[in-house]
Amino acid sequence: MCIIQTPEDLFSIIASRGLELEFRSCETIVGFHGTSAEAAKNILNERHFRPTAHPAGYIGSGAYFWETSEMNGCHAGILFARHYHKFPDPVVVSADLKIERLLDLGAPENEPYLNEVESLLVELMLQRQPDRLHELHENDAAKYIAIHYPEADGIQAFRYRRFHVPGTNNRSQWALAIRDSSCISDLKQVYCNPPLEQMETS
Amino acid sequence: MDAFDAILNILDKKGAEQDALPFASLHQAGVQPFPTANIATDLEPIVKVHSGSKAFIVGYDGANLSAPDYPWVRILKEWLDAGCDVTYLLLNPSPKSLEALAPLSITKTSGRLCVYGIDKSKAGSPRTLEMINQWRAFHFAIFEDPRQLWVECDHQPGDTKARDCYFFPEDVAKKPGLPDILKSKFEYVVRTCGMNLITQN
Repeated sequence: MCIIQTPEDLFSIIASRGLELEFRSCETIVGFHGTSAEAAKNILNERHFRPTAHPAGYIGSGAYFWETSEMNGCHAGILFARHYHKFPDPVVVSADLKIERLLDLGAPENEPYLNEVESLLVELMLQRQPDRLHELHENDAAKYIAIHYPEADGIQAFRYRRFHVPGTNNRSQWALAIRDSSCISDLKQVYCNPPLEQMETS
Repeated sequence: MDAFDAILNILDKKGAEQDALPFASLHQAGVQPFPTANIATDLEPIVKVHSGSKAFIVGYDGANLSAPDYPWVRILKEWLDAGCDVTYLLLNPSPKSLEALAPLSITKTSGRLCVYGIDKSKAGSPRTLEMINQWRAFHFAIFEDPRQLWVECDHQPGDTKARDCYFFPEDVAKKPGLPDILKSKFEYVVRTCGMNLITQN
């Protein structure tokens, strides 16, 4: 019989196995957000982001940023806005991000926790609907934590690694979902003059 | 919300973030990483295969099968001779790779070889196509009895060498997780759009 009834049960089971997520604060980092020209204008006029309300995002709801070097972060913002959101002429907005309570799901110290969630999700699927197990995706454990982790912990942001940005050889892009808008300041429009083709070779 | 409904909710709301990512469990204790590897020379010495074992292997063009002096076909034959059933899925097999497998199809071995290709026109959903596209360079071999797993995160067509490889030995692979997910994906793709190319007599 399946003893996991609610998401809280799943987190309790993992806690009972002595595993905990580790949080950290981070120095101010620069994040890059790719969007449509119209949305960028609104963001810059209103000086704030409207977080995605639906929980289907890569690491839950929040304002999404790429965190890497300026060139790569900007590049990732353009690519994702263009490829996935289908904005023909994307604009990238940069922001300073000061996060006191960050849950970094890509940190080595959190890997055992993430592995345990992945394992329990598989157990649940095998027990309840094995014919849909093939639908489980690589980032579903991280997404499950990001969406269902108890909110009382005051997490301001989630961070997770992306493996690959389409069209590039860059495999170390970090995605940040900022839940607490007070972490975001100093918004700027980033002008990407080099054509993408040039950036891809950098 | 039920914990299981919470998973289904995630599965039902797949968005636009479906590019290839590493599974969390690639980085767990006991998994052996290989920055670069050749399946024939790096996996063969560490994997346990015997009578009654089963192997489910995903490849792209079969560069390993047709490369001169590369021992992959010989190793497959050794596994078959040992009584291991091999199910091989080649997403885009080259004529040379199928030629290399042809002698195995008429050789009597204790284990049974089945080779599948893909009929993309039968891939009924974007998810299936997504899996097939991802497997162009993401390959794996799942073993049962005993359960083990070999993963190649980056194996480009035409090359025998793969990068970002991981081996899950028996004591790691026995836990519910990635081997179950990949086996389920393998079976789903073969069931929905697999095209039998070779079945051993």
